[in-house]
Amino acid sequence: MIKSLLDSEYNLENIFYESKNEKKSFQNLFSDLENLYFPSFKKNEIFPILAKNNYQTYLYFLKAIEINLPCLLIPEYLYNAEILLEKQLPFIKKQNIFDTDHPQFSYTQIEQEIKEEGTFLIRTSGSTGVPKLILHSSLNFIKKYKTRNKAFRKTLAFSPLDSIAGVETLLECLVLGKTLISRSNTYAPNHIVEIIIKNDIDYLQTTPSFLNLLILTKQVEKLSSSKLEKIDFGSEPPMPDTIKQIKNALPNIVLNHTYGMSEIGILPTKTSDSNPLLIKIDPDYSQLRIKENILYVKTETMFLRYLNHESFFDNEYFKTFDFVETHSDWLQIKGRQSEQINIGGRKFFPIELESILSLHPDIKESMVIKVTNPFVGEIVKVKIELNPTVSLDQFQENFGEFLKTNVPQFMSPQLIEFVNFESTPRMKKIRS
Amino acid sequence: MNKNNIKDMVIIPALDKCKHFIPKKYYIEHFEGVIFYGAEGAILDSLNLVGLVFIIEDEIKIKIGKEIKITTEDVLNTDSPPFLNLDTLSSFIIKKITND
Repeated sequence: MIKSLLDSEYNLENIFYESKNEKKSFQNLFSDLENLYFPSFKKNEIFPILAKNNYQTYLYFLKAIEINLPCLLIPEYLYNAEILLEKQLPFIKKQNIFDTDHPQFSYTQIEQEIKEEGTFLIRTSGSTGVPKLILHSSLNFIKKYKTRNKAFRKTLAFSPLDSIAGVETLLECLVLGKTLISRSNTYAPNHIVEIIIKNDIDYLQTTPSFLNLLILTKQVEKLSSSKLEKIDFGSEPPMPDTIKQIKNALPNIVLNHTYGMSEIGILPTKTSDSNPLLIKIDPDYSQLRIKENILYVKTETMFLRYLNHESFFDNEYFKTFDFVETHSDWLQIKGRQSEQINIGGRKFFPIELESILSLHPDIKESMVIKVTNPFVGEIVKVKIELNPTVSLDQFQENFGEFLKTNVPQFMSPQLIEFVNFESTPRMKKIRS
Repeated sequence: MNKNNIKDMVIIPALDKCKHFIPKKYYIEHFEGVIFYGAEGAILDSLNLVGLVFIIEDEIKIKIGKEIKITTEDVLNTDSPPFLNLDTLSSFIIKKITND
């Protein structure tokens, strides 16, 4: 089914996937897809899969789409932080998550039937600590790429596969016959730059935070000898100076500020030449409404529904909760109005981390807040009140290990303040 | 004020407050020859780095009485990577204190 939906113009001998140790052509992909076996399943079953950025995971994900088995992409950090997995997805057992390194099929029953074709599920953090499961149709994305062919040859799997950006990168390469280059599990600028240069990558989708780090470490200068032609950046508002610096260091590269969300996909945009903070969202693919400075979007790649939550629609327009300003025809995204914390594109609510910290035997109470930083957008600060019998030294000695074992790296607090909450009377947490 | 003063008064005490994300062995080695950020073998990831920067700003305020923001946009314009190691970081902080 997938093959019949794609453009037939590209050469099947072209490389679809390349990693340090593996190279797969489109011919290999389609042949592997044809030979891949899945046990039968019911309409009310889903397929939780560990979202690794590797060929085998892509293969199972694409096959699941092909046979209309909704695949739920489980982030690796969630899989590795068992307590968090239990809290966030209590209906998924770790042993039932399909890991391509140890393949063992297991489907998970849900309360409703999913009748739509070619669907997949991703999760997004929820303000109550329970994530929302977003049901998407891959066919909508395929249609988008078929009508809007981006000119590039090779791109990097920068975003993890459990994010909408990761899925879009994969599907875009598949539909357009482009090469997807894999990376290892680090975002260290020197590592990413090395992959870009070594593999002649000409298109990169990334975040403003990562661009800052490229500049800060001077790695950006090495890219001037690379084949990179275009950088799309999104998922958080950029600093104006970041764009200026990148333009100075890489004058021939096209920079494009994108806008997207897990629920709506990444919308085709145009960036203002005079002010890179301003964008225009392509009206051929999306319609916008702005009410009290909050952006509402109706677009082709809109999700179908949440599986476990009411959706925020207003006459078919999705309420993004993003605060925006208009400058004649242009739009400036100012950011989300909520307590949600955005760490280089990975988003979560304070309660998600507080619920893990509550399991530490020495912590009496904790409050998680975000601290804004021009480089990485936001970082995590936690105010902790220790149990009275615990010494600070003793706690500090062990806390790092607790974080390492139980808290995903991006959620891990960088700043810790020890407080006595009882000295400040309060009925609810005021995160300031 | 010289680089050693900055190391002893600001950076080392700041690093001392990062025990929840920096392995113990680096404290024992007094961070000599350790790459902080931006090259092969670095001990900090980008989030750790920002955490350390916040703590350093606090230490400067307490010990030197100056309110300095290290992660302002001009940090992008430096000649060499400021957070590479103890030496580059202390030079960078001295420059910041002198110019602000």
